[in-house]
Amino acid sequence: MGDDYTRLWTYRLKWLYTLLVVFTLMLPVFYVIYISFNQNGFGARDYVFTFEWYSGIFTDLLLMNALGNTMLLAAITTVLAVPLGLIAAKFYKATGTDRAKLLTVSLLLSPLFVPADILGSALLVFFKNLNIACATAGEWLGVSWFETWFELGYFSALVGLIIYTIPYIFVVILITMGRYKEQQSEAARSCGATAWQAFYQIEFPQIRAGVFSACAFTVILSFNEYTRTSLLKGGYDTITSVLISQMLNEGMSEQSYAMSSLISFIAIAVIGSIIIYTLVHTDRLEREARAKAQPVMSS
Amino acid sequence: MNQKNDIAVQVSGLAKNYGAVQALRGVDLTIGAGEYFVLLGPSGGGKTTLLRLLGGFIRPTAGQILLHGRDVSEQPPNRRPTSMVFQSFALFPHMTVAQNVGYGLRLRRLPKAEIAARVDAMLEMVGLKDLADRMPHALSGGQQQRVQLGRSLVLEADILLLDEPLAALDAKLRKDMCLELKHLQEQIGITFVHVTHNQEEAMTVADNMAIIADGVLVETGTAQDLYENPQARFTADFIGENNIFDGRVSGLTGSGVEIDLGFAKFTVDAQGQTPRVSDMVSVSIRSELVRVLGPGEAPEALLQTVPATYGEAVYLGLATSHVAKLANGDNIVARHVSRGGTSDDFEAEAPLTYAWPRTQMRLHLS
Amino acid sequence: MIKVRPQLGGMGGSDITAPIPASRLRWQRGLSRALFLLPIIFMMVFFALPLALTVVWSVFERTMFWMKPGFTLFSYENFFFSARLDNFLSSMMHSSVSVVVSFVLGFPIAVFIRRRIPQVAQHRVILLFILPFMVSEIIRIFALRPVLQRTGLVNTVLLELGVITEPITAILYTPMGVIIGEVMSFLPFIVFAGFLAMEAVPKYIFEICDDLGAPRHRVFIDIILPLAAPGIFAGGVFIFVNGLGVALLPNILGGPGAVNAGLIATQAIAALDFPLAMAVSAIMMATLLALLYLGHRLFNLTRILSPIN
Repeated sequence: MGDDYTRLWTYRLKWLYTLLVVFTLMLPVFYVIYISFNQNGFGARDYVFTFEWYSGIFTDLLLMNALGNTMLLAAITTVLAVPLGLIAAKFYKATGTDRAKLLTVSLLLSPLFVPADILGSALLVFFKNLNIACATAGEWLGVSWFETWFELGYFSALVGLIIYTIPYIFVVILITMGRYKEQQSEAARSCGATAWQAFYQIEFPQIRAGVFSACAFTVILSFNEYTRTSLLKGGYDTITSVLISQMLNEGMSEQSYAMSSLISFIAIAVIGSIIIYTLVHTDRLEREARAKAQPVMSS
Repeated sequence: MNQKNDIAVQVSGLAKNYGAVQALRGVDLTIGAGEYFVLLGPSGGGKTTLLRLLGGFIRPTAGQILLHGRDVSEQPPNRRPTSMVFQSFALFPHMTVAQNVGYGLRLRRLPKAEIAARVDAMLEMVGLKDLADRMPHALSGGQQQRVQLGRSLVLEADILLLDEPLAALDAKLRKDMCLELKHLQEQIGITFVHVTHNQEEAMTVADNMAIIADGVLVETGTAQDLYENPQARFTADFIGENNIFDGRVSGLTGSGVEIDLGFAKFTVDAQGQTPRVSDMVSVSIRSELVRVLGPGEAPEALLQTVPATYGEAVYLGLATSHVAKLANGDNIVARHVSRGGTSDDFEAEAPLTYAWPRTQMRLHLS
Repeated sequence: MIKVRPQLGGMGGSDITAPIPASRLRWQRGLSRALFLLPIIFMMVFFALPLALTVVWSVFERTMFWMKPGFTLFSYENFFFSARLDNFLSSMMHSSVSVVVSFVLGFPIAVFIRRRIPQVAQHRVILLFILPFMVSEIIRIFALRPVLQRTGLVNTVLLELGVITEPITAILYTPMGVIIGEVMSFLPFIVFAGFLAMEAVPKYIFEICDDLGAPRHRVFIDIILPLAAPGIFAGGVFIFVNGLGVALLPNILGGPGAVNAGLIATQAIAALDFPLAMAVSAIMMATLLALLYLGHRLFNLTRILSPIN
């Protein structure tokens, strides 16, 4: 009994440690949220609880403008990156050769290993060069409709964001696809379905959860991203660029604290609800998965 | 009824390579319309590859596939007159049984009422009448396979492909479903192409069989042909329980072929084949035709005999196998119907004579 | 039921199972292939290509506002023979420290989750570590200031508890601050990488070790580490490279003069010295590739991908 007893306590200790680490990681965020409710702002001694900074968000033109840009970027990134990641995942599963698989995986996961500033700088110079190339080509050819394609603006920021988020999308979707059995697509084709019909009617309903998680993830990541976006966006403001410029200069405005807290809170809520959703549905999924994996084979 | 004279499947020179691996090499095959045709062979031998090539799930490296006279070698699965039943996990888990079965009909945009009617009729035919609203995970293995059958048959395709459909089922259920498949096919009349590695299953259902091993077509024939008169050594080795002796041709006398096996010399009828002297050939004899002669029992005429040292008896219910060692160290097996009691017992290491009718031996040149 | 060639097309629907002509088939196949190659082409054009070109651009000459094509090693000289090199090397050291600290703090968590938590709950617990990641890195890093500074949370609490008599100044605007920032930012990744790496260690190994009576630390050193090495290495490379490359960290937490490669690059761009920025980027990429190659030779990194398969 002694051994089981000590084992239980080490188990609890380890759990405590894990939760402590998570809490410590979240500490700065909690602190920011704490400040955002303070009427006297950051650093003031007296703490007065208030919601006024949160309502102040919506009258702060700078923030609202930045918010609009950020939401636009996040939405378009998701619309572009998730299908790209999905196609890449399907391609990865479908190719036979090891070389093709290795190439796909390296290309799609490498952005994780390239730091933001380096990627941002390289892409910045890349786009500027393209811009110059287009301008000179335009002069030479006498047409100008493509001259602004590669200026630093929405497109360049989108490219940066897509590259940033695609590894996460790829992994999430691949893991979800791991449970899907290819025979079902083949059976659908055998019944007369085209490749698209087999995907949309049979495969997609089963990987939907993963795809939507990837979408949520992408939106959150895009909202939070700073370095690549700031290097590539050109003239306009995004939430993160506003926050940084405030941080480094006069300090963040109270509304900015509120905004940061709000965004963090929403992000946490979304991911938290995904966790809870899988928690609640796990029982049913488990039962079904067991039945699917081992149906009674004697009748 | 022109059906039987049509050729449903004509395959010529079909080959499939995966990089350096040759899964299928130059196969030629003909399957008549309305036949129940089985592709039998060891695992990894190429039979599933061949089936999937027929279905359009793989593209051939070389060769041609004609289905009912039409070249479909490049066509995708949904553009072929075929439908496939898989081994497992192929039902759509987010649809009910009725929705599964009606899937192909919905794709063809048939009116709802007609779909419902056809689905009902098909569920009745495969014995799932009251399960229309069940979800696949609530079905047993056998029921799931029936739903697959229903889903494919309701489309009235010309050819039904079955990829080891019974492999995941228990032995007893497998036997029952075998017969049901056979009856279904007789009732509906379309061509079935069924892949399996299980001999008994193959012989139960097949009108004709093909043995596929190591990427090549070894032999085709009815179950009886392949069991009683296998042409290829591999067939003799794979089907039934045969004793196989390898040796060299040492002489040709009229229609007889004399073969030197080292420890004995056999003379076998050439059976229409033309071996040359010093060719390597094989001879096989079914183990149920081999008798163990009791000590002192004189062999009748026309019996081929070999001396052997007795090893052991293996009791398998219906039959008992008597295993003995020949002079060259190989095993020889005689199978008898088990007679209760110990009248068959022989002593280990006892020198005995194994005998069989000379005329029942078969000659294999390859 | 005698069947003559069945035609399902009759009732108004087209025969969707009729073979299609070869030319249309080729066109469809080509389109399909192009679609599936789209992500790869995108990544090659907008990711691999620009990074590869950094080498080319790094040897260009600098002009007032841009750069002009040429071949000069001036940027590299500028980098290697200046204080920048020392800063770069010391930031490498700090990053290494962060890797070790993260490993020590985070890897045991991954082992714990893998071993002691039931299979189905494991992913949920891992997801807990995504939570900090859901908050913008800039907030997380910037919010460390009020926590670590002289009058910040940590010091206030410690002073009140009487653990110290004077506020600690060594934890912010110092290399220590940068290290703390790196660990806070990247610890979740070591947990993820460790978790994935532990897939390579089958559960029964622990039972065997228990049977054999092996002491805990031996199990760790001889069994867990070697098997999980690829994943740990990948996680370590991730932290190391990002520690070197994320300019925010030294910028906000490092105090005056603190730089890492990323900050050098960003500052160079702000100063319109593009070839220098490109040189730094090229050096970073070379470091990264060298590390990955080394890891592949030592551990065969492709093993990490088996869970995804």
